[in-house]
Parts: sequence; C-alpha cells; structure tokens
Amino acid sequence: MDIQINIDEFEGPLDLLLQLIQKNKIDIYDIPIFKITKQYNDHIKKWQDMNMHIASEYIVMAARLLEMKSAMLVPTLQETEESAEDLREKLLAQLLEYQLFKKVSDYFRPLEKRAQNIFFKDPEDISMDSEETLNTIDLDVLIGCYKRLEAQNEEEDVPLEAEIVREEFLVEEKMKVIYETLQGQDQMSFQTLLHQGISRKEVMVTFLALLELFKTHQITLYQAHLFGDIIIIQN
Amino acid sequence: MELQTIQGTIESILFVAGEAVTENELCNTLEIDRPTLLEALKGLTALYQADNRGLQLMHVRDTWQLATKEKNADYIVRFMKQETRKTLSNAAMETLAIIAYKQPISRIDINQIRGVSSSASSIKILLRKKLIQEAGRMDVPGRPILYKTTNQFLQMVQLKTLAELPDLEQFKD
Repeated sequence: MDIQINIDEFEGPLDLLLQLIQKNKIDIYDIPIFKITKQYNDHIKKWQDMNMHIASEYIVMAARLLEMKSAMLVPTLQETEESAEDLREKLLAQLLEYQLFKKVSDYFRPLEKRAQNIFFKDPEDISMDSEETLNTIDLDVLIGCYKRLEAQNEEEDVPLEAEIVREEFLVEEKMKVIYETLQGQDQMSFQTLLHQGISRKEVMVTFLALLELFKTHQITLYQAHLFGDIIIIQN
Repeated sequence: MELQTIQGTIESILFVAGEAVTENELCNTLEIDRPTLLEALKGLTALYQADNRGLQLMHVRDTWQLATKEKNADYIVRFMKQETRKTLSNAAMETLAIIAYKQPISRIDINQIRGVSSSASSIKILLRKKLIQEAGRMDVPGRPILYKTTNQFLQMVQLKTLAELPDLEQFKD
C-alpha cells in the first residue's frame, strides 16, 4: 500500500483511524483489528521514515491497538487485565463520540462561511472628554513641555563611541565670573549666565557659585514662581 | 412616542452602537416598555427584508445588532479590496463543536474527546475570535478553567439561543 499522506492532514489518532475505516468501507461497529492495526502502523512507520514529528498520542494509540491484538490472540490470564472485547468497546465508544463532533463541525462549516459574508460596523466614538481636557491646558505650558522633552532627547542621542573629556569647572571661578558680569548693572537673570550648548555640569557649578555668593551676602536672589527664572541682584 | 418614531430612533441607536445592544438598554434609553420595543423591532425587521435595503437586524438572545446583508458580500469585499477571509482550522472547529455541546468543559476533557493533547492553541484562537469565553473553574484538583460559547458563536451559527442547536442525536447515522 502506497500512502503519501502528511501527518498534518489528520487531527489526531482518532481522526486517522476514522479515515482508515472510511477508506476501507468498514462497518465502525465491526472493526477488523488486525487489518486496521497494520494499516495504522504502516502510517506511523512511513511518517517515521520521513522524519516527521509524531505526537505522542499517535504512539499511545498504536500501543492500544497492539494490546487489543494480543488480547485477542492470548486469552486473558489475570482478572486485572481487560479483555479484548472491553478494549474494543472502549475504543468504539471513543471513535463514535469523536465522529459525532466531526459531523457537528462539518455542519458548522457552511454556517461559518455564511457568517463571514455579514459585516458589522465598529461603535462610534462620541465621547467629548478629550477636547475638554485639552481646553484646560495652557498652550505655553504644553509648548514648554515639548521643548523640554526635545532637549532631553537631544542629550540622550549620544553616539555609541565617543571620547569623553572631563570638564573642569570651579565654583570659585564661576563666582568670579558672576560677580564681574554683575558689575555695572543692578540685576540680571540667571539665564544670561547660561550660554548656548552649556553642559549640565557647568549649569550645576554656576548654580552652586550663585548659592555661594548668596551665602556670603554678596547678592540677593529673587524668583517669581516655581521653576521660573532667577533674578540676581547685587547687594 | 409613535411606533414609527421609535423604529427610527432604534435604527439610529443601533447604527451608532455598531455592536449588539440589549433589549433592556433600548427600553431604558427610549423609555418604552418591552412589548412596545419588540413590536417596533418586529416591524423594523420586516422593513429590512425589502430588496432595496442593504442592512438587516441580527437577533441573538436578547440583543440586537445592525449588519449588512449576506447577499451583498461580494460587492462589499470588492469595495474593501480584501479577498481572503480566514476560516477556522479543522482542529479549532472540532474544539468549538465539542464546547458547543459539552459546555462548560475543561481543556482536558476536550483533549480526551479529540484523542489528542493539543487543544490549547485551538482554545486560544477561539477565545481571540470571541467565539468562546471562560466559564469559571472546575472544582477538582488543579481547578481547570471551563469554557462556554458566546453570543458571537450563536451569531456565527445563525441561532438565537443555545437551545436551538440541533440535537446531537441528529448527527448519528
């Protein structure tokens, strides 16, 4: 018998058995165990030769068929052993139940096809919440937020390989710079001390210098609101 | 409210909802009683039967939903430029058939009937397609999850209730 059937075409050992029964035009209530066992094993053997992955349930079924075959040949000795008739009954019940659900799924198929020809619409989104939330936000705050994020992103966008130069800033030097810049004007903004492309470290050192000048009563600091610009006034 | 006004309002609501709407929701929204609602829906269903209407009312359990008519599918598919619609695999369809008749049922019992140990992926697909849903857990060691079919399943097999499923005996030769 030359069978070239892929294992994927069967949904499991029960499916394989049912198809063998159908192919041989056998009455399911009167399965010739020897014949079916041989054909079943031929399939398994073929798949093994083709190096196909065979799910364990196929092997379990092969063992069951063999057990049935041997039980038919040798009369049962121990009471714990199931007779060939019991084993056959069990398998028959399982085959019949499985066959039933295969028929149900055959009945579902055309219904599935029909259902696929019917289309539905997605629900409308008529919530107005989103607009209200946006109205309460100050546009300037939003732009500020965006700019800050953008600046952050730029900073994070570092090359994989880079030479890192140690930046040396001294609080004393910065104090001197601030003090000198402040000469000739009553007040100035902290922002004017921060030039384009200034590093985070330099900002920190400048700020520390500012605090140092404040501590030694050389300047007065003024901030209108949280996170606002700092105004430096000479004492 | 006049019956015709009620019907028009129901149509508008079902259009906006898209998904299935329960009779309760409709009654509460329209402030009408159930007999009036059912009368209106019956009339609306009849109106949609005319050939010059492209929609139909889908009725599953106590829910109603607007849908396109089956006979217009070819043109809809052409318009959407989508040729293939995925069907369930044989394994998934078998699993669905077992759940439909044996619900609530655990994965292990499904495997037992199918004679395999691999119904998990089928169950996952059916859950994703919303044809089945979880139905609590079985009170045995391991507390396995139980599964049952959904309204969407009933819609697929064109039934209003589970009781309308053909008797399993009918599938025996």
